[in-house]
Amino acid sequence: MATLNHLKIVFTGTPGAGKTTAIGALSDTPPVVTDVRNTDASLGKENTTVGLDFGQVDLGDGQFVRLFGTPGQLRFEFMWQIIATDALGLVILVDNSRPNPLDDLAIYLDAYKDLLPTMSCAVGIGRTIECPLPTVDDFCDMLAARGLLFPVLAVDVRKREDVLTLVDTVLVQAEMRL
Amino acid sequence: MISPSSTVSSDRRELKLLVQNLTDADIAKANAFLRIGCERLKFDWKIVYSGELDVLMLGSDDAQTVRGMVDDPVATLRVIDAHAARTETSPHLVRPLEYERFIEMLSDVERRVAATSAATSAATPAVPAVPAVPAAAPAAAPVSSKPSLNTTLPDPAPPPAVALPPAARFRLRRWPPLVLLQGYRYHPRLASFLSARHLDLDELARLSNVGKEECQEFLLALMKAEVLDVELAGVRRPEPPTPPPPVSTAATTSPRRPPVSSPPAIDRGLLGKIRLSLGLTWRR
Repeated sequence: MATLNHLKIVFTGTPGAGKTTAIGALSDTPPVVTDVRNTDASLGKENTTVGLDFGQVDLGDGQFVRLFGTPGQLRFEFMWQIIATDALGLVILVDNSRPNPLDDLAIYLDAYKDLLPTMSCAVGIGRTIECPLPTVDDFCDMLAARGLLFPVLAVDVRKREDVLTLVDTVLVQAEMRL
Repeated sequence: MISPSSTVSSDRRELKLLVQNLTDADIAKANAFLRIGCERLKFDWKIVYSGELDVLMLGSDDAQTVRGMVDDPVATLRVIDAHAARTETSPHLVRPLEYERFIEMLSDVERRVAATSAATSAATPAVPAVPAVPAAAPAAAPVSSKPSLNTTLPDPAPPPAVALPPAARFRLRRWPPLVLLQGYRYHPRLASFLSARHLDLDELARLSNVGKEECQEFLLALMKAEVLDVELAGVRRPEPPTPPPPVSTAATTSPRRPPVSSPPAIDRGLLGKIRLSLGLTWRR
């Protein structure tokens, strides 16, 4: 029987989508971040993650749910699937203020396509207030066109409640797989 | 003051949104939202400053006399600052105006206007079509007419009664439109349950720990939106095999996968523990 010590939920998605923030919203301990000064002006932020973000939720009895955040840049794609393997769930975050958010999501759906059929997954779309287009429903259409059915929610990852709602939808799927 | 937007002429019925004591920024945003959201709205909306109106959008506590107004508005939406939102009990929008919330509230008004029109049309009692359900399906008890969103707009006419087919099981065909998920925080949760496999009303209520009445109301809304696959009693199709717990296929697709031990055994107790630790408790 495997130990339960390595339960993990993985946050992935575009640079600036809020993976680090989302992990910080849930983690019992200050998240370990691997941010460095950003040199890509197109990202529009001071720091960006180049390794893993890590946080954890203490379940008691020595059990933890580990929260991993992948580096967003495409050049780190080789890490994405490795990190998500055997995860309890995957949360894909998309920044709707980027030039092509639908294309962004497509990159992650392609990257995880081997895992998605058996993976509990949810998609969170950020900055929908400032950038209402494409709409959340456009993202749903895109998933439907690929034969995928995952929760797609507008989120503000600075709000713990929003992050919790996303994670809850992942846990529900995990429960239904039992 | 920003002038009202000019509406594109169409065959659709026009509804008037009368703005009062709003900032230029509010009005500009409302105009932009109406342009962007016109495909999601069933009526053409026009912002006006006087005369007939369907909705009063108010930037102050008290409405002033509206020149030319004959009938009361279908709804009054107060626009308030975020700090006042906690104590506001009437239908309201919070500054800065949010697109989804704005469209959602206008959509709610549209439903009410449509329901009123249907109610006054004696010739054709309006019973909306229920997708994927045979017409011969016997009707269960009518459901509550409570609006599906957390607004408390005036209710001029109750929506026509529709019912879930008895003993039916439901599963999402696709993720529902956002407008059906906002308002109640448990709607995304219910939709998640329905995304995984067919469930009947009792199963959905039991698994989600959400009240049966709320589950029923949500299922009806999903049926109206035509995103539900409905499996009727006696014609149950074999459920597609439930995927196993998250076991990766990456071992065969990626040589870079590091060696790992077998995945953890997950059970409901463990998931409950995770929920408890995160503060995700569902007691309704």
